[in-house]
Amino acid sequence: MSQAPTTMQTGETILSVRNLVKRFPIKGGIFSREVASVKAVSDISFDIKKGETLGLVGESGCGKSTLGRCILRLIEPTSGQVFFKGQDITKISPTEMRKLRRNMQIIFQDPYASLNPRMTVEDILMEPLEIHGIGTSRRERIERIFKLLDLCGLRREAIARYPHEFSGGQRQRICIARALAVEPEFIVCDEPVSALDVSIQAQIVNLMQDLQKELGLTYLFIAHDLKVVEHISNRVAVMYLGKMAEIADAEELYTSPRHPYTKALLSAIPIPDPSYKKERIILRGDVPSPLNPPSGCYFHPRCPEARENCKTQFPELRDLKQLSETPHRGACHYAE
Amino acid sequence: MSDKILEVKNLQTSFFTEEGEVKAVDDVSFSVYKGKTLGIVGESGSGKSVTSLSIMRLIPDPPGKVMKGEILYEGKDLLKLAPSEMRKIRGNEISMIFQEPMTSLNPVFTIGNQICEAIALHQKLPKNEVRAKAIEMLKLVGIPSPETRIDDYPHQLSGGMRQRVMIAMALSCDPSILIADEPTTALDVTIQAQILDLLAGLQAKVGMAMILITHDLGVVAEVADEVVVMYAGRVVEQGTVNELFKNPKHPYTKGLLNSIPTLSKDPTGKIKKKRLETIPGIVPSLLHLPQGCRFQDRCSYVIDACRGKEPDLRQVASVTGANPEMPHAIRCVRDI
Repeated sequence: MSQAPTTMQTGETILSVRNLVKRFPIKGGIFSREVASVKAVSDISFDIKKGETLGLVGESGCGKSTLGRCILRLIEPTSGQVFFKGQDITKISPTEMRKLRRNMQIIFQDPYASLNPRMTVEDILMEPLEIHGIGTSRRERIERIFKLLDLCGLRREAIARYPHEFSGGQRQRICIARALAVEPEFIVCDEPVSALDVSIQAQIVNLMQDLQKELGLTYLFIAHDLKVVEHISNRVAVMYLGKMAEIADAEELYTSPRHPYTKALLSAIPIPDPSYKKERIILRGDVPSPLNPPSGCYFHPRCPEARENCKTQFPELRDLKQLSETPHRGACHYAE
Repeated sequence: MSDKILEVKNLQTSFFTEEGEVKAVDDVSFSVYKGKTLGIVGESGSGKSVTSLSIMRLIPDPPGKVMKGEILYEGKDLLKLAPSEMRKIRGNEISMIFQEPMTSLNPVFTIGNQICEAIALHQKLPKNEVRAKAIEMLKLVGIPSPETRIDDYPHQLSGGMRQRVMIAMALSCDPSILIADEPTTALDVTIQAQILDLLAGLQAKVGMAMILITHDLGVVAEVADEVVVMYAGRVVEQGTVNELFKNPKHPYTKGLLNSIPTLSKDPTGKIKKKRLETIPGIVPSLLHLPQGCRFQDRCSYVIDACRGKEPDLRQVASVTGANPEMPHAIRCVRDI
């Protein structure tokens, strides 16, 4: 499949997120008044360059999926801006946004739930082509669908089948084909391999990397599996309770984490080597409720390195000592 | 040499479907020793959960049935026990924790109610002592303020807390064997580290044997003493954990180990892979198994002999020293 030639060069910023906030109101009382709100995403800013993969990690409930959806306006952000190729997409009308989604797609975690069981693969892949007016005749569109199936490693016979006839890995390939049908430049991948078996995970990760190389795609890769994220990402961002805790070059973040939360996360990864016995930082307690986050640094009740002022002062995201060309930013009073 | 507490001999469990008999577990044998942990590894559909349900005699009949084999617990064959005798063992001497703490707790009863039920059923204690024992169990698994938490409903607890409640319930009768079916799969890494740490600590304290079922090789490497790798209902490789990770012999085990991404700061000094190795294809349907080795269609070492007779489990030389309790054995004709 040929990607429309773009004037953009690799290294140019394709997506900028500025001070993005998503608040979910909690209603109660007889008049359904807003009694409280949950800040699922609070004041997040970052850039993604063309052709790059930004990994986004964090525990469940940290707001990583909400962030991914806010970027595509599948959930309307409360405030803040999202610039896609320089255009602020939080300001445009829903119709314009729909047109723009040709360039921005999403792949979901659960390949079982995200495909309509009553539609054949042909219907599933035809729909985006029709909506966005890609191809003129049915024949031309079928030709495109065949190319998509080839690209995603599915056999052409698959076109007449229903989702239930496929295994999890193959279904995820169908989801990827559907996202690619409209030739997007940017894809939000929301836990695309979490529901798959280990050997199938590797197949899908490789496929996504091949497609990125071939089509010049840009990914925001959301996952909780830290090993997969490091493997696929150029840069990695760590979120905690709706806030950005640390963001840096992938290798640098994994070899030289600065935020205590990142350190704890990394030390919790089980290493597949029984002869290796490591010192593990065991975090106490669970992620606090985002309904009433702790005062000061959100992480201080669980932080092994917390000091007195962490309980009162909120640490802003700031530049830390960088070891590579990519800036290393972290939100901790004591990180170097 | 430690005491053998459970021995599974030539277990075969089938499910009778409209399309025919499915042998979900086919001729599986292994032993569990006191104070040790046996890891059972495999992808979905490999028969690892059916094996554990067979031990507990929890296979729904119909459609399922244990066709052949023996499950010897302290000399008694569990498969020959009357249902009332089995009830005395289940939850008391052999207990189980499941993957989904969300669905395996009853939402309409308090957790105290559910833990007390297990204790009252198996131990003849006065009512107030039952409650005291339940509180003690909650304290043991690290639930803060157990005296008030005991009256909480499952929805008031986080995922990690629910899994702790499951563990408290499973351990409340001091079982000699604990079967943990994917106990940490639904949890975040930091919580996973807490739970694994907790299980290891409890095991050291009470000296129970554990069967850990998982697809995560990292978890197996950290927790298990001995490992059984299952594929399509068969044991394809078994050995001590050190042997299996240092000297994997079956192409499937090798493939599984190679398909996990390595960290760039891998403490074991492995070089980071540019591209993941994959096992091509998918697990075959148990209804249409190929003649000969069940892994042949996905195996890169396949030869003609693999397509004839199915290979037997045979012992191979061990590089980490012979272990009479768990000799290294593979179900493969080749020496690679």
